[in-house]
Amino acid sequence: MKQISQVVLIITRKLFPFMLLYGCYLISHGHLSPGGGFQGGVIFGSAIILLGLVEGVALTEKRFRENLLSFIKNLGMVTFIVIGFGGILAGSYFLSDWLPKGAVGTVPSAGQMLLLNLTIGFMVGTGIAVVFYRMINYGSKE
Amino acid sequence: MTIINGLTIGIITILIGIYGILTKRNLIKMVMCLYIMNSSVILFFISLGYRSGAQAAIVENGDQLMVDPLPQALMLTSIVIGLVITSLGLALAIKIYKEHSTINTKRLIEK
Amino acid sequence: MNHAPILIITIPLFGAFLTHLTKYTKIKRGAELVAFICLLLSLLLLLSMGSSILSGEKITYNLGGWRAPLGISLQVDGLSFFFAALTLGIGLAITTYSLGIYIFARRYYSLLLIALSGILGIVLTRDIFNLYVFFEIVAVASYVLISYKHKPRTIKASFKYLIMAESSWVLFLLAIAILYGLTGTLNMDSIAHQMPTIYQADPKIVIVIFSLMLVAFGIKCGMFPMHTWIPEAHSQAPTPVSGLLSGLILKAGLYAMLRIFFLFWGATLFMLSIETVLLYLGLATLLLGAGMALAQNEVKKLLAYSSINQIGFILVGIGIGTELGLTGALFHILNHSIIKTGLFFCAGIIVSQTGFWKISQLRGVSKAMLSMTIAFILLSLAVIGIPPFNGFVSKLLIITATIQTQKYWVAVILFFGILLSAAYYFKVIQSFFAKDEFVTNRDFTPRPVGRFEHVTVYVLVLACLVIGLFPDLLRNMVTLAAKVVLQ
Repeated sequence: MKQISQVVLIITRKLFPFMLLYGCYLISHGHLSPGGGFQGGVIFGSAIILLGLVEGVALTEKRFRENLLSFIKNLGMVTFIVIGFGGILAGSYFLSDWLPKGAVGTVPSAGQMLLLNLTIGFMVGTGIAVVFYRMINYGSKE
Repeated sequence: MTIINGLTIGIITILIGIYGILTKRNLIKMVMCLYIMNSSVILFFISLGYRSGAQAAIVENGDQLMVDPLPQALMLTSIVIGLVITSLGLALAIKIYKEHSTINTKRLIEK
Repeated sequence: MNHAPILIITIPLFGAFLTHLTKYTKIKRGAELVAFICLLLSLLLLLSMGSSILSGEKITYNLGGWRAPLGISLQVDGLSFFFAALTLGIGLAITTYSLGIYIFARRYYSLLLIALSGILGIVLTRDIFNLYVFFEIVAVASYVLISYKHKPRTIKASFKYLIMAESSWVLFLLAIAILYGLTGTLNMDSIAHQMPTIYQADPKIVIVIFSLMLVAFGIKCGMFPMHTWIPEAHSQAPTPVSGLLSGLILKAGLYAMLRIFFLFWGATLFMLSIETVLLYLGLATLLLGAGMALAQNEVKKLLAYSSINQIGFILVGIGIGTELGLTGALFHILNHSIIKTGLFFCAGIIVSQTGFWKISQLRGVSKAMLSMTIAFILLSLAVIGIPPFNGFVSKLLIITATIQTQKYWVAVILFFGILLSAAYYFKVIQSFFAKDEFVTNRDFTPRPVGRFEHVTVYVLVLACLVIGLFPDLLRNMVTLAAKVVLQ
């Protein structure tokens, strides 16, 4: 394989934490502005995909192991449903809000929405990364 | 009201997608046409909630004319489903290529 | 308030992701345990609502506390209860059958639970977009389940199903979009409430919506021109998945037809004569399924075409549109689910023991596997409609309904269909009992078949016999479901 350009490699490495930060911003402000769990999660996932394309999948897989990612994915879904059950435990309907609400326009303004967005974000980000690993590694492993 | 708006373009591209699925023999192109159909329905649905001169539905600056937020929320789900279907379809296409070493439907039928 | 409706859907979904997490515990066969416990819990919750549902009550549940036109609401009425009980019963049978098969790992049980919770969601929801999402969940899970074994032909079947089903769901989404544009709501009851005004304003748009939905649900339930995915997918899928496809996923499409067509066009149904469309398509489906089944040489493909044949019967029952016809159709949905799941399991055991899947190769197999051949014969007698079994009751109801509505020619075609189905099943039975010496496939190592598989088949045969002998046990539930459809 042809060696990848140094410029691309260094810029991607420098850009990577900022992409994660942007993903976190989108997830945490999903209930205030355009964005949300899925969009932020996709940016999370695409940051990992970018690193995988530039550095090579083998190196990226060492940092973000597939087992760990799929564990987070499954845990995210389970947590989502547990938060939903919280509404029932609080004496209301499934998925109804059971957390105190903050002032309008601030991050904790929507009660459990932030938590749900966080679980969706982690789920989507790790899920997309797992899909990418599986598609890239398909031929080599079997 | 002009003829060229989201609704008409959505319908036309759905028809393009159906035409592609019916006529193309390449599996990858079929998955692409599926995605074209999906996105054109998304365009159609989003355009239903459009109002000219309206703002995004964020109640931060007080009351104002807003677009219908429900189609946008629903289509987010639809985009996710489109992503899942496309990745699954492409994964199956890769697998078919590995097993049969062709992605042409005409040759696949003969096998 | 009663939380049962949402718990019925979420417990299997919760379990689906819990099965993956059992990897980190030391429990032996944790995934199977989780799947079993989740389905049993759901069934118990459903049965806890049974007495109030059967007395004609409706239990409504608002998700997140938002009321019906704004939020998503779930509703359990007679029809939903019928289908949910069917889903959980067949789901438990499928899980029990899969217990003995060791190639099925955590991923399989996870996908199975996702598919089952999706079907439960389809059955219980009252929001039309939610219905679409649940259908997609079931569809995605079933594509992966069909291609679970990664054999060349299974992947092809799965891809074919993916292309056909997904293009149909896009059309269904388009229908939802048009409905939303016209009514401004997604709640089924609200849309049904506004339907007469829409019809009076512009009948053409209603016909457009109807035909989009007919194609979408027709592909799901295997209606005549859209049936082509069924033989491939059913015959290539692993045996329990064939049972799932034939027993539940086809029925989910029929449920959507029953629910949406009769709710939206219940009053205008006769003006548009939608039911006549269903009647003719049902007859075409019936004859095509029977004719193609006669020509098959593979056991599982024959069973798949037989499914199409029986779906034709159900569609005719729906198309008659009277209460008796619908009762017959619903009863046949139940019976066909039990019988066809049992037949696929039987065929799966025979194929996995002998290594042959062609009928001509299986000549004289009764000497090697007598119990399974007898079970196969009993189940095939049930599906043909021979008296002591349950198939007879439902087919009798459908034919009586055709005669009551003076559609004698339909009754004649139905009789012809029954004769054809007898013809192709007797062909199989005859070759099973042929006098030839039976030799198992030498290049094939038989998979050990445990007691779970056998027990599942026997239980299903027993269920056929009990329902056939005492149909009054279920009469209350089925007639209630038919009344709910016609409301």
